[in-house]
Amino acid sequence: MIEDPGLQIDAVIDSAVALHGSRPDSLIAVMQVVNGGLGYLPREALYRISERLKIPSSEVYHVATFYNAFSLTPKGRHSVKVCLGTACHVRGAPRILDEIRRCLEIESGETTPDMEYTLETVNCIGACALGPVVVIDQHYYRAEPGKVDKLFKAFADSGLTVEEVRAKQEIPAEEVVQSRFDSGKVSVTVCGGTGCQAYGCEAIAIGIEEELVRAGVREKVRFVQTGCRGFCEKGPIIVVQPENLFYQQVTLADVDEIVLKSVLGGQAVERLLYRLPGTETTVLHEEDIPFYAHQDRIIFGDNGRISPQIIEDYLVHCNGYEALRKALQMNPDSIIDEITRSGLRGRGGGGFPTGLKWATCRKAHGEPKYVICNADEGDPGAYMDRSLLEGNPHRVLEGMIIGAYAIGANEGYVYVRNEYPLAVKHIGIAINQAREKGFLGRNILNSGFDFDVKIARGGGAFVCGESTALMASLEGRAGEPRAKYIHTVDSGLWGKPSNLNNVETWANVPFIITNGADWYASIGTEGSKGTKIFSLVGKVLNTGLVEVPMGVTLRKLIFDVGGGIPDGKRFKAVQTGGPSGGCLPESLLDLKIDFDELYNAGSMMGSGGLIVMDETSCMVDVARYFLNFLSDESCGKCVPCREGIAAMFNILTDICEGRGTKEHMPLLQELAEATAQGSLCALGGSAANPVLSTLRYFPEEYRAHIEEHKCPAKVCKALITFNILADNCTGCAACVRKCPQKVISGKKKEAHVIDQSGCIKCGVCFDTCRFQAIEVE
Amino acid sequence: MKETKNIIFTLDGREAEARPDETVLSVAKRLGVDIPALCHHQAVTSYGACRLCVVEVKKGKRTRIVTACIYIPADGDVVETGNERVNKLRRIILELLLARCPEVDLIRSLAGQYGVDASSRFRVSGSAGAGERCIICGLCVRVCAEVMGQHAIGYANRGGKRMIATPFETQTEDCIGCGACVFVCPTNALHLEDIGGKRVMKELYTSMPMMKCTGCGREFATEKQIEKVRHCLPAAHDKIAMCPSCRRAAFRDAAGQALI
Ligand SMILES: Cc1cc2nc3c(=O)[nH]c(=O)nc-3n(C[C@H](O)[C@H](O)[C@H](O)COP(=O)(O)O)c2cc1C
Ligand code: SF4
Ligand code: SF4
Ligand code: SF4
Ligand code: FES
Ligand code: FES
Ligand code: FES
Repeated sequence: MIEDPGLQIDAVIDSAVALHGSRPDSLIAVMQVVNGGLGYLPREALYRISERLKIPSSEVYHVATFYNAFSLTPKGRHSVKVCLGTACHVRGAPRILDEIRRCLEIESGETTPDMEYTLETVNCIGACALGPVVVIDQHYYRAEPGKVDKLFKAFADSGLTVEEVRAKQEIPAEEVVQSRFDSGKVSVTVCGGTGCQAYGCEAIAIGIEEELVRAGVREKVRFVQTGCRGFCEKGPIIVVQPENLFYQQVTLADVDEIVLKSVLGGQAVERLLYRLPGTETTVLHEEDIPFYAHQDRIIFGDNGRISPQIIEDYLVHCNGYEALRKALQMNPDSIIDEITRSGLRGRGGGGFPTGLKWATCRKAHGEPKYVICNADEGDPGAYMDRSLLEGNPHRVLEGMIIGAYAIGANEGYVYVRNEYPLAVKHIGIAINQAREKGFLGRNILNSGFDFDVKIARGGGAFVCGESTALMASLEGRAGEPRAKYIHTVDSGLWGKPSNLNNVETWANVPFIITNGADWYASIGTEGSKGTKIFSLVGKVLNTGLVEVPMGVTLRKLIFDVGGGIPDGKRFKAVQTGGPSGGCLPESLLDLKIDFDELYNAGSMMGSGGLIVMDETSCMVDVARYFLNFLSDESCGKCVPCREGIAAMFNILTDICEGRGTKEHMPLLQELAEATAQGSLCALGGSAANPVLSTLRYFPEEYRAHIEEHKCPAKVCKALITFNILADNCTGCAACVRKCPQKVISGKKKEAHVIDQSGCIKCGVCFDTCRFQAIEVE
Repeated sequence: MKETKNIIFTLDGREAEARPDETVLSVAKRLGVDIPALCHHQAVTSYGACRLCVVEVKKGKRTRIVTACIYIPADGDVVETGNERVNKLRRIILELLLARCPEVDLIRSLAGQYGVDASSRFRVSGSAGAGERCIICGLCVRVCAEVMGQHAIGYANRGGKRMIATPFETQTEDCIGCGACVFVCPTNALHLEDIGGKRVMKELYTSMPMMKCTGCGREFATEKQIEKVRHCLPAAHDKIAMCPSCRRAAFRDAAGQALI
């Protein structure tokens, strides 16, 4: 530890510059290292960075205050991050935040006086199936309303070693039937995706490996930690081959039995099998579980077969880099022609035809050309890009190399969202391995083609998913979009022709090259070809990532794959397309999901988030939620977006708080249209969609708020009251102990009452009562 | 390949010609067509932030809204600078700006021209409302960087919290007190005052010593401005620390001496 803070700052900056260089475009990367090393960015450090990188301090300050990843004030020893992403929002994240605020006695953004905890909010950390999610340091937790104390307890216990938690069962070595392993087909795969990590799969994987060693079969069994398998809701997931046994919600206590019975003995452990909802019928194999049975997992299925950290897995089990070999034998124009004929459209949101984009970039004048992978995945509630990069990074890389060859680019970037550390790690490993094997670098596979890829980490800004903002960010600047009258394929990164595609778009490319355009075009609908990965989250039974052909109906996705709405509640709406999308009502459940159908219904494909809402979601609140998100995430450059969103948000707040007036609905409409037409980039351009779609499909819910001062979903605090039903109340006083305001009183074993004047409507009493004695009105 | 041929398009129903790379706003100015433009200034690059200069462009069947200060027309474009759709959009933008800066005369009069009531129906972002004069047009930032080469001021934060700021909202070494930012600000959001031997710019947290003219003793520029001139013109003559009129007089004298 160096004592002098000035020296310490210099040391950190030295190491950052050694790592990332001192060119101006290294600014964000250097600041990330310094912020990580010192816990924040002291003023002195920013001045020195400004000198070292020769960037005016005014610009350094802009960058430091623009991105969420940077803090100008010291942070506590532990960081508590509450996810307020859409999937978590509809599952009660705001209440979790309220409880943690009361528990730590600080507001979000603040640090406890003892410097122990800093409380922050994030908009989706890509573990949406678990929602509501809280992350304490690197540990992910599924939070429950009324039980945040449990979280901190679990966090305190997280220091315990595997040994201390695990139930042990000795395996007598002589009992192991060695012939079972002769085929070489025995394998155990443990899901290591972020969702399952939240459920402690790391420790389970360690446990399994130890047991295999103990049983003396480690060398004979293929043991793999895979990326996300999609069914994160049921994590941690383990699959044993060759019997193809699918285990869900495995705990450390189950490890020994799985190894003993299944790996060594080929028998199923009944208790860990999937059960058909509402029955005791167990299902042995993944493909028979309804969640998987209705899917078509062309792109995503490989995740379950390989370790993302081992290139040989990709080569052997996924036909890896064969498409690249084939492509390098083709001429670039015929590759582009193949992609064009396949009908592939960009998965990043706009659905732009990929072949056309490549062709334009190929023809553009200017050298060098760049290809970029957009892994900024900002849509709260969507995490397919994360899971692809984490689970099968070589597939994405292979697509990029093919694209670069077709376009004539020798340099590439992967721009990864700041909140995705595991994805950064895995794509980094993949790039190094691909270089070693000659798939990247000079003279790739002796074709004479050179190409290499760098990783850039985002700084935590949704708008950086927008192409021009992303490129500004890659250049080391604040992520401000610019007008796109000149397209980025002609003038993008450093003014050079640049081809940007989404993670999933790139991942589709190798399949098209391998199987041909005709095969690809045979899947999907007229205007939208291939499959699409959706993030099915919110109020749906089976949450997770699902891949289906374009054109599947919303109903099929939500009810067949998703298993419908839990707790006997009624479906109300599905939000598609993230903050720029819209909410679709029950009457549109038979809509075929593709780019055009969704657009015509006033929503969007976006990146493929599908957030299901039931009768407990208030549509005015949801619209307000998105505008709040967007007003934080707008870059703030242009007036219609910055002020228009704020104005709409303020009107929606008035409506939610009972101050709505007759004029508000038409006023929202007027503002929405102006914001859409007048904004500089598509963030502002689509910001009004949540408002327009809820106004269009749920006008009666607005009216209930405005005219009757009622929130039919019982969400808007100002419009509801909590009462105790004397008939049901047993006087157990459980709620009395939990009420943070101490406004519940009554005699022992007699009906209690809430003093309305002090009630803050936190709903803790409602969650606590076991006798349904609390009603919301 | 650089386009060298002029572009022929239609502007409000009449034929117009644009030089290659010339924006609609520039052509309109030449032809005397008035388009309101708050974040544009000929001395600096266009930015596209205020969106007041929106116009409608028809290309074949497609129409869209673009900003005149950035959009470079193509042959055959049909541009309308003041149709109902455009005016409606400008009205809302002005009403939003009015909600942010109710006291700025320029906004009030523009709003009036477009038929917006003196009181806006909206509540907008952050610091908006009473006392706020800055519309974050960014002219000051661009003038300081592009014209003065100082990069003393920039932006801070994003979204509704975005604002104009010097680093850490304190006095910055990079400012020379030239006042170019104050001069270019369309809403008088920045102020400059010379008092007690100092130049004070309160919105920029800045106060810096003035230079006294070696001739008449009048304070005529900041020390840093003189330093900058000295730096830019290394061979600068010894009269650099004189106010313009003393300098002229000194030259005249010197010339006179030479004649004799
Ligand atoms: C505000 C905003 C956020 C965006 N975020 C993303 C994103 O997170 N990931 C992404 O791939 N595309 C995102 N996009 C779309 C990109 O601008 C771009 O269209 C896309 O990456 C192009 O790739 P594609 O053609 O493969 O879809 C965003 C667009 C906007 C306007
Ligand atoms: S529309 Fe919003 S995000 Fe896009 S440039 Fe304007 S202010 Fe920035
Ligand atoms: S006065 Fe300072 S901030 Fe303003 S333009 Fe001059 S140098 Fe820049
Ligand atoms: S201070 Fe003036 S010139 Fe600078 S951004 Fe604000 S309004 Fe524009
Ligand atoms: S993790 Fe909370 S919404 Fe995605
Ligand atoms: S993370 Fe394990 S199934 Fe998604
Ligand atoms: S003058 Fe064109 S956007 Fe401001």
